[in-house]
Amino acid sequence: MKMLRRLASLLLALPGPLFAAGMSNHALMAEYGRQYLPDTHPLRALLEAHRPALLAGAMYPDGGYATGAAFPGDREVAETAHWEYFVDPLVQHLHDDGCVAAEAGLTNVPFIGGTPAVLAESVAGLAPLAEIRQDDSCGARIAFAFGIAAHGLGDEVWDALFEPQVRARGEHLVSSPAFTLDSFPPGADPSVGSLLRQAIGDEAFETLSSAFEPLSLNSIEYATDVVSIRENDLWVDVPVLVFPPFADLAVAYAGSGRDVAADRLAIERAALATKALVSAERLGAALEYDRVRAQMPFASRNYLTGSGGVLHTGRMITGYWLHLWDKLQDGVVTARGPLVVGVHPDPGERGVPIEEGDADRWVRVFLSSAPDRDLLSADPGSLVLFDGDGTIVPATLSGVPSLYEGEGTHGVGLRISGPLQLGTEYTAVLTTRTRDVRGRALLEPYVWSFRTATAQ
Amino acid sequence: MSAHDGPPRRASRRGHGPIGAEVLLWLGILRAQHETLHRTRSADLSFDGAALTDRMRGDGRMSASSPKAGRSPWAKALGFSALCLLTACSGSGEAEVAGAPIPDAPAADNDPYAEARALFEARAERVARAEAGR
Repeated sequence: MKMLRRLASLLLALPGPLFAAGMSNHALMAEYGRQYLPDTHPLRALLEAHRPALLAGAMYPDGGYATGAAFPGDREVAETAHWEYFVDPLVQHLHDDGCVAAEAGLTNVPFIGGTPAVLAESVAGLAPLAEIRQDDSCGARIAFAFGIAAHGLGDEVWDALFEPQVRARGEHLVSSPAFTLDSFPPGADPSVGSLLRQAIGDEAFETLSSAFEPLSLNSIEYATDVVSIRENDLWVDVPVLVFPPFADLAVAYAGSGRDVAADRLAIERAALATKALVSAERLGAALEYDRVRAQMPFASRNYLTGSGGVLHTGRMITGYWLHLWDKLQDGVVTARGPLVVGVHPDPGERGVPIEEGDADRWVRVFLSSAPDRDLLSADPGSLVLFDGDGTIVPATLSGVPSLYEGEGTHGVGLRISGPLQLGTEYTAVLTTRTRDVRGRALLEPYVWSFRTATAQ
Repeated sequence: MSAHDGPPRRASRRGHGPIGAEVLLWLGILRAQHETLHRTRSADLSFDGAALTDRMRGDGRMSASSPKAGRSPWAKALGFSALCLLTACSGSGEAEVAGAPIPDAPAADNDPYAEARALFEARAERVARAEAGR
């Protein structure tokens, strides 16, 4: 019982940023990103050969949030690893280290191998007891790095497009104490919750209710992981024997320009936490699947195929990786300009809701390289929305709801000032005035259309 | 003290050296599990498989993707929808499919919307041509 209380207090101590896409779904997004790569692209063969490292990398960035409960500095280790200002130095370091396509053996996976240092470490440690296909080749390092990159973009897309729709439906609160009181005893009117509301007043009840929201079992990332593990047969996809490439990550943390105490222990601790947590999620998947499906019907039906879901995000990860691959080959600064990797609403989509506050009405574009935010906010001609008559819809390009707009993020959104019209074809245009943080213009403009719903 | 006096559990472990049989067993399990990760899951992740396509259509949130031969790797990778072609969306290779080049954008500084307007008008023209030829 004491152990259970400790575990509960540890879980409650987990900070907010963990409540994004779950680690199992991050790994699945990276899997789809790999799957969507063109058949002949060298990155596809590399990621297939080093799949465990890819999965471990895709889970890595969240580990420090968990260990941050005991080691507060680990939260910054986790936070930093989410953004492009970490990913770009990591890719540049691998480039400088000769990890480019010309290097032979990117897809070679020895039973045990690597440089003398990692070989000696393995031999002295685990090798006599179990063969492990672990090495420190460029292929494994690249796969881990690309897994990290997939995680960061995955959070941006999932949090911008998918989670707001779940929250709008209130499914994340269905098992919270306030909700339980409101429906207890079953069928009773008034319920315990409504009596309490009458006694203390609406405002106090809402305050109390929101204070206890973290106690809901329906945190979106955990719940959708539970469903995903079971439906996508992810039971054994836990990269227990993959260890983080400490030297590479240390260089990236230093290159991020952030003051992060990312020593070896913190990095190993974060990676270990990811393995422990995703293992625990397997237990949740075995026990909780039916409850989650019943209490979170929208999230359960749409986490895979919906807007901002695993497939949608996986496609965007592919586009992001293709650009990162070019940065790996040519160097971050000299690599080509960005391209669009995904948009919302979908091109040609019909029945897009237009109600104020509906997450679905928001126009979003995700780029393969972080845009120059100062330029965007000062230049309304970067992303423009036209109605059917060719009139520009008044909007701004900053302060967009549910979109990460900090340094190292990839989303561009429209904050539409006025109402949209029902049953109307709208056309969005992203122009080459858009530049990334390196000053490179968008390689191609992007134009797409969608039609709003005919009734609210 | 005879040779049989020690605790039975400790005596049973002596034959395995400093590493217990349980540890070896767990490492073996971990090793086997790790090996499964090296399998490519392409069979399980058939994103354009009939079942998944039906599911996407059923949700009504995503159009069925059908990458066409001859289109750019970008277009294939991003899986543009057939519906997108009908509405003549452009970008990332779509302009080649629609048969009209994207115009150079002069983007005069005194009109930040000039490039966007030119692109919008070019698209409207393509849509009108496509509808006229139908």
